[in-house]
Amino acid sequence: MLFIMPLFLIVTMAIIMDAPFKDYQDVGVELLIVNEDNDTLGNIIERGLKKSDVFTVIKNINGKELTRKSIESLIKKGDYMIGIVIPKGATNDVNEQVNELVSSMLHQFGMELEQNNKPKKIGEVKIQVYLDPAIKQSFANTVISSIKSFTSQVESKLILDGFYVQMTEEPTMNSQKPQAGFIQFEEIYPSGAVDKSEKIFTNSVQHNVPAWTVFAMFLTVAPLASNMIKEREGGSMLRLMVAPGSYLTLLTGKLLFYVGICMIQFVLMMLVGIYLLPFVNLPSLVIGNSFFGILLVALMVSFAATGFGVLVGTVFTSYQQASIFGTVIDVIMAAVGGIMVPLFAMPDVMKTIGRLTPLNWGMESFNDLFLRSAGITEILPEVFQLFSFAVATLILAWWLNRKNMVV
Amino acid sequence: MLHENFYSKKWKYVNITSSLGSIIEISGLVKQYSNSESNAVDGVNLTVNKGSIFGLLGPNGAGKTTIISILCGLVKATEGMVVVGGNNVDSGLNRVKEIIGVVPQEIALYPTLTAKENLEFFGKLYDLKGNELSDKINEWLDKLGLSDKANQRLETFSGGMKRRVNLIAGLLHDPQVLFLDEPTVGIDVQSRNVIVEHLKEINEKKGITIIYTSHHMDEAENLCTDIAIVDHGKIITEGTPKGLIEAHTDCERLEDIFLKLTGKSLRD
Ligand SMILES: Nc1ncnc2c1ncn2[C@@H]1O[C@H](COP(=O)(O)OP(=O)(O)OP(=O)(O)O)[C@@H](O)[C@H]1O
Ligand SMILES: [Mg+2]
Repeated sequence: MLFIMPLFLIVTMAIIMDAPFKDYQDVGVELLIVNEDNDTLGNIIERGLKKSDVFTVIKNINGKELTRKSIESLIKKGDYMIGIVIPKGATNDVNEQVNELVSSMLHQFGMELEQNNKPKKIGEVKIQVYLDPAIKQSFANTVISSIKSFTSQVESKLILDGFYVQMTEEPTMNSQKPQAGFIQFEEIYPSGAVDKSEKIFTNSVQHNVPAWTVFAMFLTVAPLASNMIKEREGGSMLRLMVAPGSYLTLLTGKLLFYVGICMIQFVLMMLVGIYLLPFVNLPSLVIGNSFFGILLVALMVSFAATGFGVLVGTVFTSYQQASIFGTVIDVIMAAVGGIMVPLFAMPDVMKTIGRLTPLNWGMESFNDLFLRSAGITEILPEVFQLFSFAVATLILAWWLNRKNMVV
Repeated sequence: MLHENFYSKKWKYVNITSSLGSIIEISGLVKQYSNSESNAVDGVNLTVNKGSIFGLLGPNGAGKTTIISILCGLVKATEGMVVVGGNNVDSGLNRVKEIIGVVPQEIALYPTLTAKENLEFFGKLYDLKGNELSDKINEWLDKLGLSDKANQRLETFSGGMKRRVNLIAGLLHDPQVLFLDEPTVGIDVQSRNVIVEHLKEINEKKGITIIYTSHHMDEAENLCTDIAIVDHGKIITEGTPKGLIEAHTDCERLEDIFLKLTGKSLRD
């Protein structure tokens, strides 16, 4: 155990840590697309994105074509990270702009075709990129720049096409890179937050504090489990079991004690995030406005950590083993569950595994509350998962305990 | 009112008869541990009379601890029925727990707490509190020569001192039935004599029934009113120490009978 756990840790960490260095290349980031334009520009972008191996393009969900609205709500819920909307008439607008540009260029070359040399200001084309507020800024930048590099290719092509239209002969300006930039990107972070300053939602404090808080809360697994084992080894457990009827009460008391410890851990981390980090020139943690929701999630995470601790304490027979296991499994779940590296940056298999860890559920619900301004209803699935996890571990522990109940 | 009276009278009556007779009834008891082929307890029938000091003797691995563990509900029997103080251990475990005290073979205390803290903690489990609790603790610590160590952490105690605290923890609440699994192992002769005297005293004065296992035949001969010798999970003989010695005319002491019946070969 002493050797297997760290070995396992290294392997997992290697897989996880490998992910960001791949520049999201092989990962296949899921990208929602709505092509309202349905014309040259939109179609080219769509086709191009589909071909690229950076993204997995999703246009329909459950057979229903996505809309701007559905994209917004899917991203707000945190189900997907990125969505882009190519607005209606985008091709038209770009074409007009291209024509404008081309004619003004031709004008400069003294090849004016028309009298009108004053470029009209035509509505610029804005492609909306919806991003999950929980997304890390660096990742958002990577995604946007890869979409940008792609659309600028489209732009250049359109400009060249424009020359073809306006001139009958081959353009002589191959060497000159057209000044692209008709297509603007608008980053939208859907969230019901009252706070308008979107920047708040994408800083490292906002990402790291909830994640590591959940990690810290699960760190209580190790002392809890080794304490249980010490009690069993010391035989005092036996006395508790022969004492009148109160064993269950005692167990409940003990559980509550550890839930309390987890809660203290939680409150401390929150206080650090809110009050201490500003002192070291970091932004203060914004915790959203669902106090009850936060309390509920914190309680459920504590409960899940405690249940897990009891299970570990039941399964292992030596407290050193339990202690090592408790700590290492926490680090592993943190790695796999998206606490160290966001899940969407991981290979699919790891993503699936990551979504099975209670740390992920805890972190996701905190992200929902802190970043996506979710209410109770949005976090209920995760809260339920955490609760079931806690109950399942406790029942399993109870059952195992019953099975080898001997002096 | 009349109804209630009737019942309470009847209840008292039942209690009186049981005080005159048995407090523990074991019939057809079998225990097979799940990871073992043979039976640790193999068809034991036993009656322990109220107010007796019952010695359960036998070589290592005979099944003594297993029998005691079943009696106090720590281990489930594979077959058979066990009644303690009129309550079936299977169905009435909570009532059984209220009337028993257990001193396990292994030390069962918190090493990081002091002797006093340990005893306070376990005393509270039996609803002892306040002055009553601390008086009792002090009295017993004094009786077993541990007064000056009362506030030291248990891990600093010698083996024999731990055993003495272990013993106190099981009898602090004056149970009706006290299970002692080798309470005098690793204890020097002086303390052993003190312990034996105090056990006799609580048995006589408080009417506490004591079930006791030991490998010290002399101690058992001196202390016990009744004895059963167990081997391979079976009772091979039982009776009073005197009666047993009289029955085996070739033996002068209990130890001779023990060796005669269980053989001289080593056990696991
Ligand atoms: N938890 C267990 N799992 C499997 N077998 C066990 C367990 N506890 C005891 N046994 C077996 O049951 C038998 C009786 O053991 P038990 O502890 O009751 O003996 P004992 O008479 O108390 O011995 P000792 O004098 O050494 O304390 C032994 O063969 C032992 O190996
Ligand atoms: Mg034993």
